Amino acid sequence: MKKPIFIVLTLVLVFSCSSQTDDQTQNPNINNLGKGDTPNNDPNFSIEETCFDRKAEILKGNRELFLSDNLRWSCSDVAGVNTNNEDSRGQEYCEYFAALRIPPSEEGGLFGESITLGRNLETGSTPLSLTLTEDQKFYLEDHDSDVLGSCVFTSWHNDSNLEIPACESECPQVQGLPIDADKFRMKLPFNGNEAANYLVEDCVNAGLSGDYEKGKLTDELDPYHSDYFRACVLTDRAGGLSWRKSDTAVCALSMRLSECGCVDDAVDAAELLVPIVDTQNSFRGFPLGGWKSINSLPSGCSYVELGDNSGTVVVCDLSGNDILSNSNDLKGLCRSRYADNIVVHIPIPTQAFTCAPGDNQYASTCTDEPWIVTQ
Amino acid sequence: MRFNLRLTYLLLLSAVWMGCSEASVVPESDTTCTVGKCDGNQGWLEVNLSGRNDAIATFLKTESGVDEDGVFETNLSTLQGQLATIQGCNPADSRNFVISDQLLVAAGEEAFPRLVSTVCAKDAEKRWQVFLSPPEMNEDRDIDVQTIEMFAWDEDRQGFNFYKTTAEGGETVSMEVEPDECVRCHLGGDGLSVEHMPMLPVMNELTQPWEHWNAAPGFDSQQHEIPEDVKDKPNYTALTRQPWLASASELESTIRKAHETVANQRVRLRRKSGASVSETMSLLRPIFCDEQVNYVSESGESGQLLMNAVVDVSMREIFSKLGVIGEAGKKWRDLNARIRLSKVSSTEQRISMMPVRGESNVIYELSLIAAARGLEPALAAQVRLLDWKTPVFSSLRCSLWTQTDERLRTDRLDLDLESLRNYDLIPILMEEILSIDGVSLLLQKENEKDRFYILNDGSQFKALIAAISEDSVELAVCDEMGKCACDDLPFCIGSVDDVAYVIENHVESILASPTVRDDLRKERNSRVCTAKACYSNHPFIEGSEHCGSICPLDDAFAGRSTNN
Repeated sequence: MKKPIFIVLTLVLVFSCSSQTDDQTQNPNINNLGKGDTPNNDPNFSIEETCFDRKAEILKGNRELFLSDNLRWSCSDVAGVNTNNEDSRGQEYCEYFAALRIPPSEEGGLFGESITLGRNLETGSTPLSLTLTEDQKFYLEDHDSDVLGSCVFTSWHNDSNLEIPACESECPQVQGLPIDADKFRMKLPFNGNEAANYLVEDCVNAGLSGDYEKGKLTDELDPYHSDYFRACVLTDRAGGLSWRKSDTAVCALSMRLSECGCVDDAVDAAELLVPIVDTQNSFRGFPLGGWKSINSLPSGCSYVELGDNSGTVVVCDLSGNDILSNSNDLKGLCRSRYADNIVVHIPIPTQAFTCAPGDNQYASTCTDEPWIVTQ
Repeated sequence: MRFNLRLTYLLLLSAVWMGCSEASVVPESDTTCTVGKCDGNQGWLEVNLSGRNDAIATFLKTESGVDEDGVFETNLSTLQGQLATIQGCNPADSRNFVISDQLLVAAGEEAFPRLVSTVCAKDAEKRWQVFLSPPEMNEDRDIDVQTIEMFAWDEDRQGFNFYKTTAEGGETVSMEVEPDECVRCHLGGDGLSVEHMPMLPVMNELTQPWEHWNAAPGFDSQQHEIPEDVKDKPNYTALTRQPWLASASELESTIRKAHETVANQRVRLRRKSGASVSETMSLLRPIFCDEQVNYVSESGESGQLLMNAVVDVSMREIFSKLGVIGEAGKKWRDLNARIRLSKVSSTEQRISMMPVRGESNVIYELSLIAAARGLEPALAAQVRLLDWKTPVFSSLRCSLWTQTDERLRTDRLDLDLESLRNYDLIPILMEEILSIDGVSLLLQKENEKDRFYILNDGSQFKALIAAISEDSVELAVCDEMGKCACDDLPFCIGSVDDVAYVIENHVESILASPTVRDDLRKERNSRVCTAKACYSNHPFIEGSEHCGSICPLDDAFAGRSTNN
């Protein structure tokens, strides 16, 4: 199977790993983002420090990412992914933006055109802020509880060209915008099926080959004793980014599958978890849900029915007051109001994995479901 | 034996109403009733519920079977289901949230759980409209499901109405409307005027990790311990089985929605014609004083604490509106910014329950700034920048408001108020508040729209006033990269971006300190004592036993002359 993107990505990373600074500036995963937009543009960025941070949030905080039958994380970006210089939000296999009709200037007036705010484009994004006249502000205040806009969350992979079955009759609309790939499919280059598939494959391969940083078994204080930390550092080498929740969680699951003898073929493992698009098993993207379950969304949110039950496009209400109070960055409100509770899921086909750790260095740490990373 | 638990400390049921303004007065009856005992010819329903249009009033009028003394039969689950139906929701969409700590038990005793119940969880517009909570323990050390505090949103009055049932034996309860005992704990700081202050639901531990609350599913609960003997009790078991039991994360979003709705209503008061100084001053009070307080804790063993422990969260939004650009303040302005402390090995070492500025205040402030003819963001920024290193409980900021409020009660403004609306008074009163002995703190008035006085230490306020009058306030010191600071000065003048860097430097110096955890704990302990003394609705806070009971917010700040 040809993997041109993967090869380029890997080569860049392998050849630049001697210099951390070069590593970050050449990483194609972030090549469309401005300086200062991501944690690793910080001159003090360190993979190890970042992995300590991420481990603290994911394993020592109080969110549950690793379940028996699902791997999951929220759509909210980590600290450091923000609008400094350029909007770089939407880096967790989940992009989001605001959609609304321009509000009228008077009672009984007509709504204007449908617009999106902060929606990623091939380059850059649609505007972040909405300039309101005083009359429009009064209108929004008088309709403060009316739903006049939507936050859109999409996990539709950028390389999935699946048609929208629902459009065979009448395309669903969001705030007057018909659903289509142009507006509702993710755009950032790393938010794709292929990227996720290769990340799984590379992290499994590392586990199978043993060719990754493992620390000293005899040193109990070695941070690499932590399954998550070990995988987090590996993530960077495998073409992911160590500060993302998604990449590190995917790599941790994958690495543990191989360390514990649950898989013996990286390509097969990747296909089980992230089926390559345009094959019989293709899918649109990772399903969105809530922390309660894969199909329970927060109040005020609902699925946009694409006709394939993919659960990859979710809309959440924006009231008149929301628009008024957050007109300078409605996408920011989408993040603070909803993104922490819109959860990306990767279903785990548990029946496909039978683990036999053998003589692996980490055999003694393997449980029946070693992909539930707890330390 | 019935345990007489402290109702005033209920965490959520803060439906308080002070009938002080035309916009906020609970409909009054011409007969006063006490705990369901009415005299005269009017029936209990007419006397107590006339003019009320909330779900609980509707239930009482139509389905409760309440008698002339306000007595009927119910329990929490039954009432919850009936209220859900009245709201047009499926009773199965009701939710119960559980907090368990030692707030309501004697020192040394085991924690006891309290519930907060809602209806219409799947309806975004209704899920925040009805709250119920059984605050007491029955003689079997189970939840007393007949004694229930509750409040509901009144669509006509656009505010919450408050009620309480008291167990009278068996399923029989007596209903009380707007019980006085709840008023104090559901208002703002004890030293504050409460004029025109709307009632608010309160969830003290509003943000993740929701210390003491059940956080599952989806999250690990933190310091949430249910005693073994309670877990099997029939009422507790019935109320916390699936699908009723829900995560505090869901309650957080519900409470935030209620806060937003109340804030919107409050902001509307600025549009009222026939301007009122007292009404407009009440609109400005949350900009200066802390009407509500929230509490943040380190998340698990992560060592991560929300940034609002050291920087007021509203600054992020205000400076975003003011147009901070580029790298300035990137650490503290990030939505998910956290203070990262060292990992701890025991729960005792965590920074827990640190008081921070109330989210309801922040939500309100941002609504007032966003509104047409509301508060200019630059004015809000200037207020925060006075004593900006004190994000909560700033006696300086609050005294500026309280002293002006007192002064304007006797010194009337020479204005034709009838011809004005409240929003016309906002800039006038801001100038009144921010003028000290004839010295204005408003650089914006001097065509310096992008510049602010940055006061690093509130105790230097007098010196700042003197320096302003002498025109000797120094500018922030900037390096060749344009990064500015005034750390070595008690105060300075800076631009929007300067301010962002000044705060960034402060955050970095906190994080770089080898004693950061001890420093924060000391600050936390100080704030905890203020919260305990000044906020009747404070939660259970470990380590507050030594605190005094006199509210320091009563102390006037010494920066203003007495004849001002």
